[in-house]
Amino acid sequence: MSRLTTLRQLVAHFVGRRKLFFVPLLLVLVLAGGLLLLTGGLSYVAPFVYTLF
Amino acid sequence: MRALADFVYTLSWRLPGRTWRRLLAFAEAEAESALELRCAAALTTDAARAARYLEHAADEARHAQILLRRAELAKQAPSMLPRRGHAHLFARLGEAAFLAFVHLGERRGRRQFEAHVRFFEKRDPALANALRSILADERRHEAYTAELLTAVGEPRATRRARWLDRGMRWRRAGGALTEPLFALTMGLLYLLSAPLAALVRRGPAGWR
Amino acid sequence: MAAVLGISAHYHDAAAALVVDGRIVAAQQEERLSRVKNDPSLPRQAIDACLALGGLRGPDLDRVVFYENPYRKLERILVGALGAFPRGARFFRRALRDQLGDKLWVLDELAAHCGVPRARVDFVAHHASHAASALDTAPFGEAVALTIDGVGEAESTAIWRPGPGGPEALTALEHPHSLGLFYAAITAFLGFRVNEGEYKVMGLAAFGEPRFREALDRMVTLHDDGAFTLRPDAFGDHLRLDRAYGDAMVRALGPPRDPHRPWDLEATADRHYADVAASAQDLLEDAVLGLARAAHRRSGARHLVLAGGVALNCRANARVLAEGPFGRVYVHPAAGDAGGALGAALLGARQLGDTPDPGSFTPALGVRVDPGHTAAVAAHLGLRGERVADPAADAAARLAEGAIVAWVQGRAEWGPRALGQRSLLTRADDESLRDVLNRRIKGREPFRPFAPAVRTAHAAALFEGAPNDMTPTMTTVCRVAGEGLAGATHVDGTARVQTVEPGGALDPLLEALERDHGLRAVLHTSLNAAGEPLVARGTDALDFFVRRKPDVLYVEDLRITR
Repeated sequence: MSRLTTLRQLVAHFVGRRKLFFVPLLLVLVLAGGLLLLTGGLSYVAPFVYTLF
Repeated sequence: MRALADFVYTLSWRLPGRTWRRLLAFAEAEAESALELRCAAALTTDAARAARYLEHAADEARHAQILLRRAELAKQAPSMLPRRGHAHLFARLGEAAFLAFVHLGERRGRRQFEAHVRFFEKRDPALANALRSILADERRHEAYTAELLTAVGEPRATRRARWLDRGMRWRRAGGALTEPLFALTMGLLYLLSAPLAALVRRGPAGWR
Repeated sequence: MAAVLGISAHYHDAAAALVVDGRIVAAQQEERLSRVKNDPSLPRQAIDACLALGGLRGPDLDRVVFYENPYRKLERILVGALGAFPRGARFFRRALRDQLGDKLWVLDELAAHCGVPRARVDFVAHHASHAASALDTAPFGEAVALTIDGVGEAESTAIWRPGPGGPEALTALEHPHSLGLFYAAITAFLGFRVNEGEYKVMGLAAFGEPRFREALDRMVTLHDDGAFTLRPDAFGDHLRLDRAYGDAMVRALGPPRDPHRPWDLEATADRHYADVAASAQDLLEDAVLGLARAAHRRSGARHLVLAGGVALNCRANARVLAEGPFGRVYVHPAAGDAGGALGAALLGARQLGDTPDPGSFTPALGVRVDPGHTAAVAAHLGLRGERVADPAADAAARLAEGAIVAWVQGRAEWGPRALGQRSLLTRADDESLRDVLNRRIKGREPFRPFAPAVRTAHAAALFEGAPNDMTPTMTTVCRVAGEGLAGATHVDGTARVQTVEPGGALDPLLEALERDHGLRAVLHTSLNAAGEPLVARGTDALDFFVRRKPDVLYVEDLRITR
């Protein structure tokens, strides 16, 4: 739920700054962000793990 | 079974140009482990265990330097350990599951290093020796974590550690798969945004 | 009456700070606890430490305030990437991965970690946070604030006057025209890590001649009104965060330095790079002085306060005080991004009706040490630990014999400088000890300077222009005028002196050094090795002691030897 607040604030920011043309781009970006979060695309740390490749 | 494990663990050494990258990745793993252990030493309330974690951290930091030097030799160029984050294992898992996680990691590491030593014994005796010195420490780490784990004694600790281990593996694998996909998506999106480039203006120079 | 937690995170040097009813209760940088130098990640451990120091739980917080506007920052990144079309593709991909992967969601993550409703998590502007950190901790009023850093949301530089609701912006300069980015580019060009090696550039500058100043003037134009402009092609169009310099800079200054080669300032090749550092430092000092004059013209204020990463350039600060139009100059000791956490908390407190109390500020705002627990851990490590009746006199005797002393007292420092709470000390009059400290204990470049600490009463006799409002927190340099400071004097005859007030962490030790051994100064540096964060807790100090082998470690009244 809390992430919806962030999304609402994000859109409100760009509307308030009269940069409406960014909004479609933002929606696609947020989808891509969701993909990143779900798959852990930012997770690098691997203590105690020796990689095979 | 051992032959199969040996084959899998040592496969990438056979690929050209992989040796130094893999040694560097090992060095990173050791450096990250040292950080986790230093934090564990600060967070545990038990002085004896804090001391063990600090000693372990010093070993891991030393291993990181050995492996970094070996990576530099293999690459024939100086290198640096990239600075990455932290998994906050102790804070996330609590002490028992932290110990279980470290124990699992050390055991896996010990098995792999045994295979590496066998692989390099004839091919690169100096590297085999360096790895053997690390292996001796890994055995010690495996033993003391088992001992402490029994002493701390929490029945579900190992299961929790395994789950976190699996989760981290999934995220790493997911990351490896998602990265190229994300890069492609972003590249396309950037091209599609070309018309927007005409609409944006950078702020002017000088006082506002 | 409110409890407000301020947070900086996700760029470099994350931190948390707690203000309760207008009083500054705690402030802690994440790197000190996570042991990752300049750790930018969400400061979970620092938040927990601040709450514990304040005796609070997360849900007790009335407000959690993030130090910048994440949406405005995303806007600047999108505008920058699209404005550079088509060369910005790589920047677009990388910057957005960071933004969408975690930075954009920082307010949600803070709410979750603190256990407060999302509605209680808010943000303030980046440079306003910096300005509040300086204005609300300064030892004087009637000041104008000047904030200078790499970039916040869009601003790189701003001038502020104090107002009832917090700092009010008078004017600002915007990205990409940024002194922080200029200095970052030079840092990268010289082979140092950006956001970390800037101190090294400043130290190195003293070894060179500013013979590239004209070349740099063609890359950065300083205007008469104090503003400045950066030429994009000298800075790679600001599309690389790690490299930051462009082809035009390489054409003018030659190839960048190989980061892996050891420094040798006797060799022509490295003297060239020292000259580059000297030229960049010269330009930066002129630029900061120009900004200070602009701040004076626009505000008419008598005094100046500084914050933002560039305000950590103590040589520039010294020139602002000596040559600028202000009577007094103060720099917030955590002038970099960490300090934004405290500024954000102070701004949040004002918004909830509290009046910040500058008297509650001290740089010793971090975690405490427990000598009892430390002694127990030390015993298990096979070290010798003894409680001593007078640690100051005991340490002074060891120092007089030429020992290298690790000194841990009270709550940890706020900001990048060790100020006597987590310090490495040795005699200030012996140059050979300085080299032992640099090479053996700290493992860092030979040109890195050390600082002397002296009691405030002796400052005027030993240094020109000391004491002043910056010397207690080591944010300026002074010319050395007295004897007995050879080991702590930089090659240009200056020193980044710390003046210690009665009651300061080093005061009993300095008193004992003078009383028992006739020494008025001690050489003083941070308790860490190269590339590591400053020590915070007892176990961190033991870890340092075991690995780097100073002669003796004091943790409060606990003396540890081998």
